Order: sequence, then structure tokens, then C-alpha cells
Amino acid sequence: MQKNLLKVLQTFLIVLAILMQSIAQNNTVIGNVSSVAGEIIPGVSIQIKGTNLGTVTDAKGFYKISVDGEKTILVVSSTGFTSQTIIVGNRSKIDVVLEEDTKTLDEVIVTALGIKREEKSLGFAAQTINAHAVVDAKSNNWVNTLSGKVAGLNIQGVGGGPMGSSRITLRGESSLNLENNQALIVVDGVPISSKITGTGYTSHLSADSPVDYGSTVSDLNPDDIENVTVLKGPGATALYGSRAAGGALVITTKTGARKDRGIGVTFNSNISVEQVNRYPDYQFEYGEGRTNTYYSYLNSADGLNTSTTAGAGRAWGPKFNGQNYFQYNPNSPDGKATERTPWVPYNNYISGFFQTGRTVSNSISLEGGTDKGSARFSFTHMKNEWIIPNTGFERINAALSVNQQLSSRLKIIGKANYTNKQSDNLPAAGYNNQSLMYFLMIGTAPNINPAWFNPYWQSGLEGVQQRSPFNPGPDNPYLGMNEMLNKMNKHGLIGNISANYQISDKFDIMIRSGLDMSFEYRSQQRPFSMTKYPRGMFREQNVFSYESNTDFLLNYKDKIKDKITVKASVGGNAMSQTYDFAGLYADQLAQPGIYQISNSLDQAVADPLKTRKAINSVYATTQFAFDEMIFLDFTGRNDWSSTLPFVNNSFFYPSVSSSFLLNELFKVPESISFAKVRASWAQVGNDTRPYQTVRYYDRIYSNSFTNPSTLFNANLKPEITSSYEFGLDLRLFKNRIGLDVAFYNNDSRNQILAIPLDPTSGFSNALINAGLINSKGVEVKLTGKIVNNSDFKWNSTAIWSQNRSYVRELAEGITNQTIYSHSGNVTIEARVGGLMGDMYGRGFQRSPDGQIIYSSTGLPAQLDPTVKKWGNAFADWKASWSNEFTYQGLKLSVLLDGQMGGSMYSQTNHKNNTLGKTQVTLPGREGGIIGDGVVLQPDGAYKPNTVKVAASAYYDNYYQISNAEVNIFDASFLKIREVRFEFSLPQSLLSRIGVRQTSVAVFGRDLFNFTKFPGFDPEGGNLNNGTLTPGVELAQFPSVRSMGVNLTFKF
Amino acid sequence: MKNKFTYIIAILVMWSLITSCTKNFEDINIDPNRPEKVNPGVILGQMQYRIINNSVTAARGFTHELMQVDAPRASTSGLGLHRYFVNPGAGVWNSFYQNLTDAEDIYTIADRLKENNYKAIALVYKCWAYSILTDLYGDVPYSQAIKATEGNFKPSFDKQKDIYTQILKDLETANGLFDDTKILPYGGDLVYNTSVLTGDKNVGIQRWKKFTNSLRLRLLLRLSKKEGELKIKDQITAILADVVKYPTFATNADDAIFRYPGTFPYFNPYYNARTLDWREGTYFTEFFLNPMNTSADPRRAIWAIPVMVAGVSTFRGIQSGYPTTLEYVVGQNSSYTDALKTLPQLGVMMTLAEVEFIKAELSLKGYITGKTPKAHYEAGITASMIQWGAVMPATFLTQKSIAYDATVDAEKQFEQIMLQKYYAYFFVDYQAWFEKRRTGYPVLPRGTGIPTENKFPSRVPYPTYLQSLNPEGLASATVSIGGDNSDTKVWWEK
Repeated sequence: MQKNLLKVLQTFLIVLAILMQSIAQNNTVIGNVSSVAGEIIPGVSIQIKGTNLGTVTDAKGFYKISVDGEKTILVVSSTGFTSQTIIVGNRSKIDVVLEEDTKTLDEVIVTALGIKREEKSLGFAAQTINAHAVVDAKSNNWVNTLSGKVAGLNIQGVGGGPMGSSRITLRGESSLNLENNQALIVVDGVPISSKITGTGYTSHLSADSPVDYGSTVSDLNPDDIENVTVLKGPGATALYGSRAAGGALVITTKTGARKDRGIGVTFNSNISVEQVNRYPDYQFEYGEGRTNTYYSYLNSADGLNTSTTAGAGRAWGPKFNGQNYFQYNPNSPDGKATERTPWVPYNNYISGFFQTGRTVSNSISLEGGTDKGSARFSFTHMKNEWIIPNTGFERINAALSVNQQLSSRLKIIGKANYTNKQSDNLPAAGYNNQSLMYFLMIGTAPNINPAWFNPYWQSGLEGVQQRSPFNPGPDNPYLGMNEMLNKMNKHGLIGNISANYQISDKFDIMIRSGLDMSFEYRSQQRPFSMTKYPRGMFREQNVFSYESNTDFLLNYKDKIKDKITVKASVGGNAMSQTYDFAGLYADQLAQPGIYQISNSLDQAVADPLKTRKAINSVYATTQFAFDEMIFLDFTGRNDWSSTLPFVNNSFFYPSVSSSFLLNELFKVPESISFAKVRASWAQVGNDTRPYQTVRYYDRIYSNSFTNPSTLFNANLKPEITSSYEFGLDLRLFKNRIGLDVAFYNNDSRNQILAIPLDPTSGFSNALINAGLINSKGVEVKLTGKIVNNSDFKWNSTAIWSQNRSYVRELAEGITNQTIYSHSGNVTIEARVGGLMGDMYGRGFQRSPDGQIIYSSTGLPAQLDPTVKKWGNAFADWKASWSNEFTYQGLKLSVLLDGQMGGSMYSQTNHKNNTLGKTQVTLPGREGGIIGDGVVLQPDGAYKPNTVKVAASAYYDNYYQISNAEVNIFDASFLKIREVRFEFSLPQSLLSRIGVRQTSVAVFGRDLFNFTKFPGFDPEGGNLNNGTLTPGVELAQFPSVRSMGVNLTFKF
Repeated sequence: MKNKFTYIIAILVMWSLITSCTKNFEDINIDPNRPEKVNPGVILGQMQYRIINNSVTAARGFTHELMQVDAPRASTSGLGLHRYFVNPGAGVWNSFYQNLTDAEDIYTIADRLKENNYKAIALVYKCWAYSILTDLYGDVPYSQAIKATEGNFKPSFDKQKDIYTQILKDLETANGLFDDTKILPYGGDLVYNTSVLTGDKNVGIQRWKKFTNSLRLRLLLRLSKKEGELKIKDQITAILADVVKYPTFATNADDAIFRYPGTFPYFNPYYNARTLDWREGTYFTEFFLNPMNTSADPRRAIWAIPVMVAGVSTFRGIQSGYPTTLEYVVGQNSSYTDALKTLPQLGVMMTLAEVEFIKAELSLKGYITGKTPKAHYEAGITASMIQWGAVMPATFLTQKSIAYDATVDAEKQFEQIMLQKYYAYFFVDYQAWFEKRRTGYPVLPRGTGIPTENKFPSRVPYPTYLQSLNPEGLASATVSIGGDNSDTKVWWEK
């Protein structure tokens, strides 16, 4: 690894040295570019043919370019205009008039390996999102701002904390291993890691809690993003190889624009506040207790508390009628009251633990250049204080992008993005003692004032013994927030250097080396007297992650005959990954309050984990363009992966794609401005994790070894996904209306599965190649310029997508594979014939006519032991509608985003209902409840249930944790995802103070959440170690509404 | 100028080509975290720790409820072991076979290294674990088990008789393999101190030998009804007759107990248990506590927390097998003490106390043990007291409810022995249940909430996942034992 690093550094130095040289040039040509109508056109590209030398026109349509001699040919081109080729001759001033081109919209799309292509020539679906999409209404994790903007893209959050980590999937779930389904993230042509290093704990009552520390992807600075191209299927990503089987997000970062002479300075400031955007329907009518006859804090003259220890947190107590009880007295040492006080609810008993969050982000960028090169530098500082007190993070991003034409043939580009992210405390997530959300369910009740939990240490025992005035089960929430800290400090560097050499008119070669490197320090500290850590705990981890990618790409282009253009490329890639995790654990402390490994009571324990992986590849691609009407692409790639057995480690996969411009090929009605059909077929192979092919012993308890539970496989083969796709791109009425439709079908075979074994064989799982998942789907995008006057414009985009991932085959003899299990209460299972994401669990026993069977006691009978399917973790379809209204300098944009179908198991709802915290538990509080159902009689007949039971017993039984039927809910939702109102200050005012351009905007994100889901947010999931699991919410944090102001000044 | 750039590019291309080499891929895919080869010492300790955790957890989670040591605070579902509902696969099936994979490796590696002491220890663990497995389920995979690395994913099941025949042979073999003149060169033993020689003898190895023969006595006694098939009496007599060749536990220090060091990572499995779950999920039963209250048994305060009843500190138990409508109020009945969560000696495999009760029974049945049943009975109680760190009052053994009554008929004497054996089995895997199945003692009261059709269980049904993972093996075993349900009696009980 260090060798590689050295190589990259060496190369970087060489390139820098070259950069220093200035290169002399001879003649200069100047001129203006305008349209036929006489309007000046800024941003027109003036390119010297056969080189990649060039410039662009400035805001006044003026250009200046150095040329080699009279035979130099200039290519003048601009989007929406027909290109022109001009021989310089002896002229020193050349004015150009461009004709508008209404037929084609040659949007340039960055495809795999950074190859730029005209959109019309693509045989697969790709969508580009511009910079505005990620900065207009910012989120803590910029990825979440893509939600609702791309058909087929699914951003799945987990409600795990301020980092807002989310799963990014395209076109559904094609692999049984959920981690394999995430899209590949590529920055400036180089893949980066989307791995999340977790804490090692799952979300449900494990020894410690998961913490969302974010990932490299979430650390990118949205202010540095120029655009994001989403390559959805294998057709688009076949050239990226194994890791892009789930699609790719290709991010291009900003470079210095050369259109403005001199230095351009942009200042951007973003201030937003965040608040909880939705609460479950809590009830504030009844207080704590197991019976509603009386209340007593501990034991009083009225009697014993009916809700101590195991029963605490239950709100089945008396109704708040202002009557007097012996309640908690914060001023008394033991909390006991000497007098009765009025029985009243504290309506803030949940919300009082949250605060208004605050995020401030300031960014400055400098850019400038000449016709030989340009550079951009930016610096951004962001600070977030989250909705839970004493949590949040701070981030610094610095980015440098330089490109320099070293000669008429050689151009070099260098990019570097540095990130420092640090946090003094990130909240513990999940259903577990130390998490706030767990406390809010079982630690408190409507008659309890949040302030009563402060101070959190017992008087005289500060730092040693926490105070638990109520339920001693969950830890005091203020202790959690202030003493149970999860810290991190991460330094990340993403960068690449590339050189492009124009060998001749027909050949050029590109060499690029990129790296994604990060170093992160983390610690978790737990004070004395925490339930799970009676003697406290301190753990720290150093996580080093490194990936380098080196590519070369030789490009050839030529015309065979007059009308056939050929472009061909051959390339190679060497990828190398290193991950080095070093944990040190002191799980009991010698002295309280000292969080150092040296303060370990026992010998501290080391937990190292190192992995290495390498993939080498060669690839080739050829494109034929027939008269710019028919395009045919062939690609092939061969990977060699270090993770597969040596004999099986080479795998080849091809792709074919085609694009037909119907409007060029046939005579079409005038109203059709553009019509394209596309078709593609592709295969992508995939490897596996390292070290699966030989028998190893697992390290356990720091210095001992045991057999792993999963049996190795010395004969693993690569997974193969094959896919085909059809699409139609139609634009009508001079591009006023656009329709893009895609249909796709993916088959993922030979999946590397850990199948369950009879444990008597010695292992619980065995790795094998098996299975077939078939994903089918439709994506539709409809755009319209509904009003297009010079003053007022209304642009509208609607997106709709649907995906079904069918489980066709599993391993021989196996009909179901558990993907995730919430302690057996609900499982996400792949069953042959079912869909990916199907959720199984138990439900009520029902009579032949479908009624719930009750036992003779009046409570529902034992749950049906046979598990049934109650939902699917993924949506039936997703849709969004965005609108942008422009009136002179004012712009209003609104994005609505939603999904239909999809289900989620809600642990929050289960617990709140069984404890009487929600409004659904109000009926029957006075006088009991007769459950609606039947009772099985000894003679086999069913008679209606007539037994009345107490509400507490009824709801406790009805919503029990293992009843998946009542705890799985429809997760359909409609969100007002983004609203932004922007206005520009008058130019006359600005020019006086030297400001060239400005915008001031107010925005809101996730403003409203319309859903019947009873938890906080139907877009949830849970965090298990480093895996984000959809479909099951385990004490999720609330989702936040953010509202803010965004100011941009350009000088 | 042009040449210079061509030169640079050539260098870059070459560099790229060099790094594209795949010949080092086999090296890259060698795991730097995990070894391919291990010595028996580094597997042994963790295996001992994990297997004892599994058995201790089974004792509290299964045996204590079924044998009315404790009962759940609330049990509205109508099910529960205390109502004689046994979930298929409940028990140590999954965990024990996983631990046995390591035990097999210890044996194989030690065989290669010619380390007989490790081989013998591995055999003892195999015998101990398989005896529990077969007593739980009946026929289980044995001779073909743990062979996934050889491609056998669906092991066939062996008959209990064949398993026991081999276990008894293996224990005899282990007894012969132990060499008390050597230390364990690779260490790892967390049960006995086998890493030093005292004089020129390894006391730890001598204790392993005592455990081997004590375990053989336990199992021979369990097979009493199979005299005709396996010549049990001769084997017991042979052990009792030659204490030099077949030593058994003689002092409390010999006890086969995994003593939790209480330092990371070898904590008592309940070290982190939440008070909520540890104390308020279950309470001791009246059946268990009341006789101890009568005799003022000093182990009572070590095991149970007193509660205040009308201002008096009392050890109060609840009923077992109660109706669904009953739910005990929190904090009003005795539950497990917090001290047990960190108590080192919770990891019991087999003790002197049990051996004394075994000998009491043998003596009562006419075997020559060297002492009277009464002497063994009293030694058994005394050993249990010492084992749990209780101080036994001088009058304890002579008080009416405890004093051994040799005047009543043999069956009554036997019942008295078995009741004290039951107390000595606190936290010892499933032994109290196995012995109840063998002897019928102690006689447990039947709660009114137990459905009339439910019989006291005789075995645990096989795990349901075998239906898909090993259907052929499951089907033949079901036929062989005579039905896969909790009423079927295993071979030795018939």
C-alpha cells in the first residue's frame, strides 16, 4: 500500500513540475460570436481541431485564442447551435455567426470511465443532475438531496443521527446481499468507497449501540459538485466493471471556468434551522401506572407505585382530571412528596428532549484561468448542531482543481478534495439502553417533567452513580447526551491526476491515477453506573482506508466512409484497496471519568482487522455512428479479482447498446422535434469479499481462535448480472414537452450466498454460488415548459418509477433465505417465487371467516405459529413532481416526492402502543374493552368474544412485539421535499459594489410529511454495524424539517 | 519538447502496466487477520468458556423453569416450559455443535502433535457435550457430525445406544491417555491449572482424570435400566473398586467448574444483564424456596434476594404453572441475587457434591462405595455448601427436614437423596431434569394453568430447521425414536 502511495506522490510531483513550465505560443486570433438574431452568445467553445486546446467566449461573446499557424482549424460549437469549422488563414479577427439547431439537443453526458458522450448517441438511460440540485436546499448528507430527482433512484435513510447516512440503490435489489446493491460512487472518474465502518453492534438490544459515523460519500462537499450523472443499469456501467452492477453515480466536481477573464470569487452562505417534522400520535390524557385507580410516586399514604421497575414507563394510569396525588418532588432528596399535588400532563414530556438544530455552512471559491489552463480553489466550513442537545458535527472541505495545456497536444488535470470531519458526540441509535429514543418509549410518561431528570448524577456521587428517579432500566437521558460520548475525527483525501496526450488527429491517450484515502479516529466513552457498563467503558478505533485506481485509455476516432464515424477505446485499470482497522477496548475502567485506554481495569484488548483487495482489468469499447442517426456501441471488460480462487478469478463480460434517431431516419410530423429509441444488452460480473476461499480460524476474545460459523469455498465463481433495456426519448413542440421512458430487465445469477447448514455438520453457513434474482422495471420522466414567456416561465418535471425484484431461484433444496431478522419478530426473506424485501412474521389466529380468534380470557389467542407475509420493504412505485416558476428575477421551486406502497415494521409503534403512550390506546380505558373477534368453543363452533378486559392488558397483548400483522404498516408517503424562493438583487445596485451576480434564497427541506405511518418517518430503516437495513424501524430518530437562507455572491 | 512528453507518457504507461500484474493476487488474498493453522492451546480456552456459557444459560433459561426452580413473572401467552410446552430445538443444539467443531479440531491437531493430554481433554468435552445432546433429543448426529469440511452437509443420526456405547469407551480411553507427568505445552486450559508441575506431578491433569471417571459414573448411573444391554453394574463396580486407576472427585478443589475470572473477555455470562431482566423476569418458586426456608439453608441468601413482607425480610416464591390471568407484581418476590452475575463459580460442569450423591445412591443400592448412604448424603450437602461459598451451621445436617433418615424404606431414602441432589444441581445444565426423568424425583407439584393434556416432557423435539436443512436425517431419526415430540421417552428411559 505504501508503495502505491509513494508512486502516486511521485507522479503528482512530476506533474507539478511540468505545471510550472510556461509554454510559448505564436499568433493570436480574437473575435465575437453571435446568433443569427444578433444576440451575443457566451460560453461558446472554440477548439483547435486535432488538439484539445481551446477556449470559450466570455459574457460579451468575445474570445481570444492562440493559434499555431494559418492552417489551424477552429471548431466553434455551443449547445443548441450547429457547429462550424473555420480555417484561420491569415486572419487575426474572426467573428462567427451560429445558426440555431432545433433538431438535436446534444447534451453531453459523462459516461463510464469519464468518457463524454452526446446524449443522443447513448443506448441506455442516463440522467444528469446539475449543481443546483444538491445545493439549493441542503441536507447534512448531500446524497439525500437527490431524492425525487432521478427516476429509479432510491435513497433509503435509517434515521440514525446527524450524518444522515442512506442507502443508494438504482433499479431495485438485484443481489441477496443488501450491501452489494448499493450504487457505485465515482468522483471525477475514480471510484470512492461507500463502506460504512460501524461500531459492530446491531440495532436491537445488543451490548452497545450502533452509531452513524457517515461515509466518504456523505463527506463530499455539495458546493464543489458540478453535476451528477446517474448511470442506472449494467448497460451504462459495464465498463466500470464488477462494482457497478448496481448502477453508478458519476460525480464531476467543479473546475475553474475559463469564460471569465481574471479571478472569479464566489461566496456562499447557508444558514438553516432544523426541527422535528412529525411526531407519533402521543396521548396526553392518562399518566403513568399499571392501573388507573390511583398514582403514587414510590410508596405513599395512597399505596404502592403501580409502575416500578419492570412495569415503568407505562401510561395506563389515571386520567388527568386535576385531582391530587403524591407525585415526584424534585426538591426532596428521595423524590417523595409530603403533599399531594395536581395530576397534570407535561405536553413536552417527549418534545422537551429535542432542541432546534442549526446548520451553518460558508463557502468561498476562487477560480480563474487563461486559454491554456485554469484553476479553482474552494474552502467550505460547515457546522451542525443537531436536534438532540450536545450532538452534531463540523466539517471542513478544501478542494483544488487545476488543468493546464502543456502543449498543443498534452493536457494535464489535477484534482484534490480534502475533508476534515469531526464530532464531539454523535448519538447512539437503535433500541437499546443508551439511546434517547429507547428512553422516550420506556423511561418516561406524560406526567413526568423532562427537567426532573436533571441533574443526572446522584448528589455526592457525581461521576460514579447516575440518578434514575423513575424507570431504572434505561439510562438517564441527560447522562447519555452529556457523558456517553461517541467522538470522531476524520481526515479524507480524494484526488486524481490525469494526463491527456493527442497523439495524432485520430489517436489520443489518457492516463489517470486516483485515490480515495481516509484516516479516522473514533472513540466511545461510557460513564460509571450505566446499566450496561457498571464500571464504564472506553473504546477507540483508528480506521485507515485507501483505494487507488490507475487507468489508461487509448482512444481512436475516424471516419470509415463519409457517413460512418468510428470511435474505439482500449484501456486498463488497476485497483487496489486497503482497509486497516485498529480497535482498542477498555470495557471496564479503573477510575471513573478518565477516558483513556491506560485507565482500563483489565488488560486492554486489541481488535485489529486488515483487508486487501485488488482487481485488474482490461476493457475495450467501440462506437459506430451511422450518419449521426444510428449509433452502435460494443464494450467488453475482463476483470481479474484477488478475492476469487486463482483458477476462477478471471471473468469477461460484454455489452451492446444502440440508439436510433427516428426523427432523422424517417419523416416525422413537424410537432416531433426529436425522437430516439434505444436498446441495450449487457453483463456485469461481480466478485466477493476477500479471504473467503481458504479455511481460516477466527480470532475470538483477543488471543484465542475458533472455527468460523461460515464454511469457506475454494471453488467460488463470480456473480453475473445480465440485463437488457429499451427506452424512448421523445421531444415535442420545439422541445417544449419531453418524455423519456425506460424498461429494463436484470437477471443476477450465481450469487455468492451463505446458505444455512444443519449446524451438526460443524458450520452454520456455507458459501456457494446459487440463486437468480430477476428485476424488472419502468422509469418515466416527463418534462414540460408549460409557460415560456420572456418574463414568466413555468417548468415542470414529473418522474415515476416502478421496480419488482423477483426471487426466481435460491440454492438447490432451499426455498427461503433470511436477509434480515429482528430477533425473529419480523424477518425480511427471499423466498422462491416472492419478491426481494418480502416481510414475514406472525399474526392473529383467524376463524374460517377471517375473524380474530380470542381465548376464553378475552385476549387474542396465541399468535398463529405459521409465519405469513405482511408486506414488502420496498415501494410499489415512487413518483415526484418538481415545478419551477420564474418571473423576472424571482424564482420559486417546489419539489413533491412520494412513494406508494412499501411497508415498515415499527418498533416505536409497538412499544408505544403496548405501554399506552399513543392515542390508539385510548378507547376502553374506562371500563375495559371487548375485543372484536370470536372464541373457539369446545364443539368446534366460533362464538363472538364477550369477555371484557382492561385496556392495558388488551393493547399489551394486541400490539405484542412478535405480532408482525399489527406492527407492519404501509409506508406510503407524500413529502413536500423542497421549497425554494430565490431572488436576485438588481444589477445596477450590485455593480456599484463590485458584485457581479447574486442570489438570495429562502428554502425549506422535508417541510411536511403526509403519511399514515405511525412512527416518525416512513423513510426509515435501521443500522446494524455498517449495514443500513430497510423495512424495519428500531427506535428511529425523528426526521427533521430544515428551513434556511442561502446567499450567493459572485465577484 | 515533444520527445520529452512522449517519454513521460511512456513512463506512465509502463507504470500502469506494471501495477496491472496479477501474479501477486494469491498473496493479496491471504488473510492477515486470521491463521490457517492453530495449536490446541489457542482453541481450548475459548471453547471451554463458550460451551460453559451455553450450559449455564440453558440451566437458567430452561431447566430452572421446567424444574420449578423459578417461574416467569407473567406468562399471559398460555405457553411456557412451566406449563410443559417445549419449543422444538430449544436447547443447546446449535451452540454445542459449534463448540464441538472446535473440540474436534483440538483432538485432531493434538493427535498430529502427539499431545495426549489435549486429546484426552477434547474427548472429555466431546463425551460431556454429546451426553447432554443425546439426553435432550434422543438420537442425534454423532459419528457423521462435524464433517462439513469433508463435504457432508447432512449428517445421519446415530442411535442413542450407539452414542452412549462410544462415549463410555471414549471416557475409558481418555482416562488412559492423561499423563500427569507433563504440563500442557500450549496452555489454554481455563478449568484446571495444568501449566505447572507440583513436585513432578500435574495436579490439574489428575483433576481432569477425576472428572473423566466422575462423568463416567454419572452416565453409567443414567443407563441403569440398560443393565442387560451394556453391563452397567460391572463397569460401575470396576470404577469403585480401583480408585488409583479410576480416581473420582475427592475434594471441592477437584470440581469441574469453569471459574469466571471476571476480567475481559471472560466475564460471567450474566455480567451485563440488566436488572430489569435479571431480577424481574422470573422469581423463585415456592416449591424451591419453602424447603430452604424450613431448613434456613445458607445457600438461600447466596441465590435469592429477600423481599419485605409486612416489614419482615422474607424469601418468598411464586407458583409455577399458574393460569394466564395471573401476573405477579414487580418487586414482591425473591429473584436471583446480583452477586450471581459476577460469581466466578457459576460455570459448573460437574462437582464433588454430585459424585457424593451418586455414591449415596450406589451405596443405597448395595454397591461398595466405602461409606454409608448417610455419609455420602451429608458429604454431598457439605460439598455443595462449600462450592457456593455458604457457611453451614453445625446443626444444619441434624435438623429434622435435612437429617438423613436411614430408618425409612429405601425408596424414601432415595427420594431424600434426590431432593438434595436437585439443590446441588443449581445452574448445572439440564442434569436436574435428566435425573428427574430417570428417577421421578423430586416430585413436582402440578400447577392449575398446565393444560390437562400436557405431560411432563421427556425430551426436546428436534429443531424445525432440520425439515429443510437435513430432511432425510430428521425423518429416519423420528422413526427410530418413535415420534418427534416431547412425550417420547429416550432409549435409556424406556
